[in-house]
Amino acid sequence: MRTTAYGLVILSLFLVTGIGCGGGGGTDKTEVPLDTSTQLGFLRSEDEGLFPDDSVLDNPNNPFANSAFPDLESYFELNEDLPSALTRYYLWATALANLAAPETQFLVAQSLHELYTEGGDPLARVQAIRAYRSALDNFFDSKFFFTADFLTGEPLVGTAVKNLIAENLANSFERGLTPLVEPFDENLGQAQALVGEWGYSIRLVIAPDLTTPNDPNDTVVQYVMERNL
Amino acid sequence: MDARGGRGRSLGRWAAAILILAVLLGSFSSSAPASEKVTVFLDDGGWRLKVGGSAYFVKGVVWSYTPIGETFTFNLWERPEEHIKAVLDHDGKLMKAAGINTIRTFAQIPPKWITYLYEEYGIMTIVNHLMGRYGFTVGGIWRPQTDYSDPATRAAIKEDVVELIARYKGTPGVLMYALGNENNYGLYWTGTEIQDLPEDERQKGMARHLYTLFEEIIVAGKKVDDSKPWTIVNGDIQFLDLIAEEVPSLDILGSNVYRGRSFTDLWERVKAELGKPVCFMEFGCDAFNARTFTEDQAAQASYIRDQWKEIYEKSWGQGQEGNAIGGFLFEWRDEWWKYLQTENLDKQDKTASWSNGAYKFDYVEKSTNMNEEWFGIIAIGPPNADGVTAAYPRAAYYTLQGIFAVDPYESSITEVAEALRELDMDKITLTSEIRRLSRESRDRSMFRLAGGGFRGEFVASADEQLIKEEGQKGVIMSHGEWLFLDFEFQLAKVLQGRFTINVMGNAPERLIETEFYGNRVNKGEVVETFQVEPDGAIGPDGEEVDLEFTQKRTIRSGSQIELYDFEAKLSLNPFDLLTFYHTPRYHWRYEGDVYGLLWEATDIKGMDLWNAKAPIGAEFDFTKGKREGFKLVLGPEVYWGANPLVMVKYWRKMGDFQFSILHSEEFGRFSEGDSPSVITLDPVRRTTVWTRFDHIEGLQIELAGIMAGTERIGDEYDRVSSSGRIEEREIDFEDTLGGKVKVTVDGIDRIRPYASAAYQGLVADGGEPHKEFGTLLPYSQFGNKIEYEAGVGIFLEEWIIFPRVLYRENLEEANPLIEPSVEGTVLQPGILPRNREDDPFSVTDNRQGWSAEIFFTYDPTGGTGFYEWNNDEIEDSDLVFNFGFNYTSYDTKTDSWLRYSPTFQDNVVLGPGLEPDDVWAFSTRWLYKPTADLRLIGKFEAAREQSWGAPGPSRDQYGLHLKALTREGHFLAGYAIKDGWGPYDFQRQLNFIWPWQFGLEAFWDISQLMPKSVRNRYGKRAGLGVRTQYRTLGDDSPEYEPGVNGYEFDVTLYFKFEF
Repeated sequence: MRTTAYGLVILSLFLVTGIGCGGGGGTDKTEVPLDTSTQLGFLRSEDEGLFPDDSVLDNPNNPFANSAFPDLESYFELNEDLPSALTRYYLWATALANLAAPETQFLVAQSLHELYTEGGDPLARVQAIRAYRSALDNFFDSKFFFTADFLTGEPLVGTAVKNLIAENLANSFERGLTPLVEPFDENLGQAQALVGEWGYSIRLVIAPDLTTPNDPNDTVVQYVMERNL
Repeated sequence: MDARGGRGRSLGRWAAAILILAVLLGSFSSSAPASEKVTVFLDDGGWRLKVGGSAYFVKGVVWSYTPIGETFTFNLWERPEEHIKAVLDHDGKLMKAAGINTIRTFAQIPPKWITYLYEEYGIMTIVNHLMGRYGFTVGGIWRPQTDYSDPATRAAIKEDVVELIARYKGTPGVLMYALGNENNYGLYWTGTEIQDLPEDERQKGMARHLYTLFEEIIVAGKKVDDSKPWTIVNGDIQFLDLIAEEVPSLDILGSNVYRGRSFTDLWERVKAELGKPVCFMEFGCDAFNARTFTEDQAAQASYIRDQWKEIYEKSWGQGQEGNAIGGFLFEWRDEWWKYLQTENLDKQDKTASWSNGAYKFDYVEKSTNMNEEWFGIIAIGPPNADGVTAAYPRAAYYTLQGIFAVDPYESSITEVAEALRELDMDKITLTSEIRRLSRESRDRSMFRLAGGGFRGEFVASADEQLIKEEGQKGVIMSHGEWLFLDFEFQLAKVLQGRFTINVMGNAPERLIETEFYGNRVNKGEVVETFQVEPDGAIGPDGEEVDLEFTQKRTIRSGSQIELYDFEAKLSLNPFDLLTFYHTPRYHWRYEGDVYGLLWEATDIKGMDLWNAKAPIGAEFDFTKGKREGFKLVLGPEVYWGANPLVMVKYWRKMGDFQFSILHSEEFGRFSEGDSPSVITLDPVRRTTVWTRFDHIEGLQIELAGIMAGTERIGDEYDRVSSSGRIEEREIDFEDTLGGKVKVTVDGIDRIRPYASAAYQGLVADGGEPHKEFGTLLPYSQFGNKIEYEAGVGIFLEEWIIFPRVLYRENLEEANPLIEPSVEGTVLQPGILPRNREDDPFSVTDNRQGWSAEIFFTYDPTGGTGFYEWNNDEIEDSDLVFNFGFNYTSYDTKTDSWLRYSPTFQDNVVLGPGLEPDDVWAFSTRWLYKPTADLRLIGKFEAAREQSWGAPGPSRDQYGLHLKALTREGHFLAGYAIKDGWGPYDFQRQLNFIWPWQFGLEAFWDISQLMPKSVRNRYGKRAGLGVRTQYRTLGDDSPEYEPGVNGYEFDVTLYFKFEF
């Protein structure tokens, strides 16, 4: 009886400690090639890239779906090195899905706008327009912070996202972008018509030029987005 | 001078002097009666007991006194003398009125009180040593199972009995000495000598050791005091042949007999096989009818009458066996602790715990019918005006009064029969029933207010910034009022329950103790602002001005009234159904739940901080309190943080073999709106099996298995391979399995070593780890590990020394944080530490490492365990303490930890995980009783520990806690903590540290100042207290602002009243 019991214990010990020695290989995901094409091509859902949709995380073309972003800052750091507007779209759409940070919706819209500028993809144009609207509808008062390296001490400066949208839509060429609404030579008017349908308006104001803070007479025309009453 | 005559006169004077002295001494000694010699006498009529030469028939009861709400640890003899006297006077009068002349007790009555009862009420006592029936301390080791074959055990018991007899020798009022209490029913130890015998022979072999020890002790005891007879307390007449053979020095056979109305052939057999007189040490009948589920005084009285009638008939001179010398009816008062022993102490449980077909009035086949809490011939109630637990005589009491009016030695058998026939049982029962109904209609109507309490607080709270900026006005003054009302109901015979309503007035504001029960009122606070602009207001200089008045209105949207707790029990034939809402519930670990799937839910105070309402659910108990069999529990939150689940368990014990199987199925996730206060995770399915073998000499072998998290099969997780590549893998079936083996060596004197090995797959998560003897080993509920543990319990005299080691490896290590990067058109996505919200498993408190510790415990008495949760209150030793040291080395970092955020009502990730580190802890706790009325309790801890999630350095912390408690209920407590976390879990999760924390609380129980009648009838406790807390702020304190805010404090004055 005692021998049987000892045998039982030893067998159990073997099973208990030996069972964990398994484990096969997994799929290597150390490196993922980035798509540098200029066409948006495939959307996982109609609202991909628009708050609060997070289907971009399931889009097989999204190289960042399983990337290890510990915080918002890490997205910005990676953004600097990305080779194409398409990859930037996926980056910011991923950030929007994961963090829902207000400025990321604007960055999704801007990257789609850039993609349209690069390849003229009509789907990118439509999604860019929808993304701008989503940024206004959902995050109208949000700020976009950037390091003002043109100023002494390189302070962090906050700019209203709504005004950046106004600039991108109404002053596209100056921003290196193709206007989203034709005719292109009536950029401001078309932009005002577009946002007017959404309940907003774009107003031009004269404002000090922040890039030359020592010369108060230097001014620039600033595009200001306002919500219609 | 006649020298002879002179001598004669001289002798005469001496003789006269001696005579006078003798008379004086005689008169002196008659005022303080000596202990009378008690003998057993046999003549043609049979056996009789003689006290001081006079025949003495034992008209006895088993006497006990346990107030409602107390359990077996209650010790009347430690109470103030005035109170003891009040109790003895109360019961002495009642017993004397019933004709009772002797009592037997389980707790030793101090000699002075035995004499008191004897002198005041003529009631004698038997001194009964239990002989290790419920365990015994041998060589400083508490042994719950007494081995009567062990020489050391035998010697220890013998020595103890002899000491006891020496103490009681010469005490007036002692009738006889008794040994044991059904010890023949508790022979379960194992040993080489008897192991291989067939079951019957094995039992007999063990019994022989018991009875030879009885003989040894009686012989030794008689050398100390031979003026009293000696008896044993046998379970019925089992092993009668052994008693005859092995205990020749026995004077009287004492026996506990539950054979129903008649003792059947007992008299005849004892006379024929033993030839000694019989005294029943227990017999009787309970007063509860398990069939009709109601109190049944008539049945109890009827059984008791017939039992006594037979005892009378079998006594001296009645022409029958003539060997009955009386007995002790079980029992005097009801005891409300007996079922479950530590639970429901303020309720008289109606669950029958064992079965006896001889009590036919309520016996149903395959069902239990003996109700342990209903054996009294006296029902009990709240304290009377003297503070003595109220006594309500049942019909059995009056029946006994009628029986004891008859002296069997002065009456013939016909006269006895006639006297008992004349007892009007119908009238006695009817009268008692009317009394009961009248009492119950007063005390226990269908629905009644059973008690409650009130607490009022006045709080002053501030910090340095407030004081600096606003001076005295910066101190936040607030107040709080709590009212609790306890209700009981009984909607049907089988349905009863209770609930408590909490009513809040205000909740105070504190800067330190921010979370407490009742601040739901503050959490619901809404401030509304109104602006009023009167037209044409005139300024001081006559100008027209516009004025704006801002007016704030506070709306309390948090509920002022809420259901605090609720429980109800429906007792049906196949099962008991218990529904529970925020009432304490215990784990099933001693019933086969080796992986701890059912967490204990007794931290009601902890839950109250967050107004959490666990546990919520229902239990179907098919075991009907016997533990073996099926149990099923289900509910939305059956323990704190549980997902909605159903759990079913089957446990069975068959001799030396036990096994259990348990399945838990979770059906969803405790979600937003359900006010979860702890981390909940996705639902999991778990099944465990467990077996234990005890039948190999000196070895206890446990085998267990778990299958958990099968729903996660196919889930993906990332890892870093040994070559540094990042891989994605899937959870396999193998990852859901686990197993454990534990071997405990039980046969070595004073040493109890054990070793265990366990494997749990990546997602094979268990439940609450089982921690014993104050261990600090870093157990974890989670899988992903191979674990080895070993330890040795060393029991030296009054010490326990317990060294233990634990080693753990992870099957998958924690992930490092590698942020994504891009080179050209190639993305390296990096890898994140896992977390249990987004990944199927993670490495947190189940991290790899080793841990070693040693604990020393000084506890001279094993009856009140040092590590019991309520040891502060129940410890019976004058001095107990422990000290121990644990060192743990964590070799690797962890993954990310989670924290439940009440703000987001979701789990949030606390950084990238904890770094590898070595931590340690020293702790000591002591309890000292300088007098019977005072307890001094202290605890000191020094430790280097990590947070529970937030990154940051490990912390060296020191804490000293002191408390002084008096029997009257006053207390003084204080603490000082250096560099410690705060009192709430989240503060350790977030790694908040306060450089110094101090606290002081004094409570003055003013119950004694109330009129006695009011105090005893309406008030349980009333008192005034003051509680202060002060802490300094540092870099890691959330409120810290250098130069602005460096400290904060709360001062609370409170009053409480419990009724």
